[in-house]
Amino acid sequence: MKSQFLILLCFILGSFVFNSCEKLLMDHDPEPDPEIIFDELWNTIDQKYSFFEYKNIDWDSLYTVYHSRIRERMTPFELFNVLADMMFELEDGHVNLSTSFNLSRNWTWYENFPDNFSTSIMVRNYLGQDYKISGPLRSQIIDSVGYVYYGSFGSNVSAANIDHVIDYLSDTKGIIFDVRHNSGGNLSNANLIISRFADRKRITGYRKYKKGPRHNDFSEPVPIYSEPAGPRQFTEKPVIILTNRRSYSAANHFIMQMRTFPHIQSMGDSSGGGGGTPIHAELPNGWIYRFSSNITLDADQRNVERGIAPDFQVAMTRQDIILGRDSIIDQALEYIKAQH
Amino acid sequence: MKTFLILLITILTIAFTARDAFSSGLDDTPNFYIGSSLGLSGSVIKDLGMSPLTYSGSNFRTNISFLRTNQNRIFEFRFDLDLGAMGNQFSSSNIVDYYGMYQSTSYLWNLPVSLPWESRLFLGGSLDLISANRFHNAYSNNAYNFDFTATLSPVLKSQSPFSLFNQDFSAGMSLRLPFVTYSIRPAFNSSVGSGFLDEYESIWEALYNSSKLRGPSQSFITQFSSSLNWHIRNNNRIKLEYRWLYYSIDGQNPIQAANHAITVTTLFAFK
Repeated sequence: MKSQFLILLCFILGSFVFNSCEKLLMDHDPEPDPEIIFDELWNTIDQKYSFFEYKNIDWDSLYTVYHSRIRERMTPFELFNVLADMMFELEDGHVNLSTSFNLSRNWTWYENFPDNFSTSIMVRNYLGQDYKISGPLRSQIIDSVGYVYYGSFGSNVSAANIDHVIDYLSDTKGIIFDVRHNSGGNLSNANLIISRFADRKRITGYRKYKKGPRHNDFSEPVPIYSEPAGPRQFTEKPVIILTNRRSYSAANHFIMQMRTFPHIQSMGDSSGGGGGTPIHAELPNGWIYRFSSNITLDADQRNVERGIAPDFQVAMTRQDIILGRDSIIDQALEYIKAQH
Repeated sequence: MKTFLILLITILTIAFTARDAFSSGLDDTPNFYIGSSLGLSGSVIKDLGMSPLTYSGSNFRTNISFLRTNQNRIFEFRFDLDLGAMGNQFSSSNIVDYYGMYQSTSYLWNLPVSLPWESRLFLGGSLDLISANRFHNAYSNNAYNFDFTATLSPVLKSQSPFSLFNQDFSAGMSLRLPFVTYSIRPAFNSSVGSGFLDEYESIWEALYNSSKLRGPSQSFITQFSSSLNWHIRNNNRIKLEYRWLYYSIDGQNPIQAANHAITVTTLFAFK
């Protein structure tokens, strides 16, 4: 009986001995003190952020400025403010510090500009009450011209959604594709829609990837291709994309790619930009941050981080809004009808 | 060289598995078992490509296994799957979904040594494949993070039979130490720490370019398991098993990970 218990004891002890072995083998987490957190954030952005040269930002001097505000005993709120202020200097909507009590951001890409869009005017006076809803796409035929509104690339479009829209609008004189106030989301949604407007495979942009720690360590521009897919493409008639300052990130990318095709032009205000793919990281105190990790160039290799100027600059006036008119949609309608 | 190594590991895996799973008996009284198990596991991981923080959590563990054993040899093929979630000590919202796959093929021979309690000692080799996949829910473009290792290890295993309450039991312990490891750890996993995303490479290029053969000093993988077998009717068994796995991969985005699993397995015997 003694041997049985010894064997059982070996089994149980064996299980418990290894239970805490990894504590001896694994490295400890960095201490969550303000100095270490600040350095972790500054260093990661220093090596991996993609627009220092383009925006002419002196990141080293910002270290001096903001590091002087770091104290050994700071509240989380004070530390957040220092880090948020430093990240604000990057002038990038893709740069955020996320905590449970606040989200740092720089939204000057649209806050200092006119809206050039009113959801209520668009819905009440243009979409009306009998518009089609295909997933996130809202479509209507206005004076024999197709109109589609897509409010967020974060709302997934299916192939069936976009094919229904193309079928529905195939006999119109042209399509107005409205991405105003679309602040981005998933690029796969953009690519799916683009494939229904592509006449052939084309280079619709380029990306340069960070490949070293220095601010100008980038790969050569890598082409981005767009090509037709799906049962039907809308390529024979004009397409106008409506843009404003709140067309950002994936929407900015969508505008850049769509404009490459000869039958597609843009109208409205400049888009908001956001040309760097954001990646996330974590600080030693569990706060999550993100920043742009690469550079997007259009087909002519121009940087689109600060937005894309429209082919036709049109603004909504105060008088338009009072009269319930969306002058950007109106002008797009006139343009397409005139082309027919 | 790399292509050769990939082919070699694939061939070894298939050869180990096929030869012993389908061969006709190893000696006089072989027993062939098919087992399936359910259990729980706990994972701890420090992946500097994902975060400077340690993540830990609980998983649901399931497993299928094929075991061929007799007095002199043990062959085992097993596949374990973990599904679970992990978090860090600071934030309840920074959740990482975890999918771990562990495949092990081992072949052991009885060592002719005299041990107390009628115990037997086995020595052999093992090929262990580990694929650890993590999806950080608070991240977007770089949310997916993974590593893969294939390790050849020497294995030492002991088995001790005993009776308790007129029932037959056996207890076992085994230890694996790494000999050589082939790992895949592409740069597109990284957001923090050293290294760059290298997105200009295709996924397949990145996988291929990151693959590397490493010794124990660069990739240390060790496993310990202890098991308690209850020998029931018709030579079937119910097995309570504890497994501990630790591995580390040095390099561009170093990883240190540990996993503890407790499973209950039913092993059905076939002659």
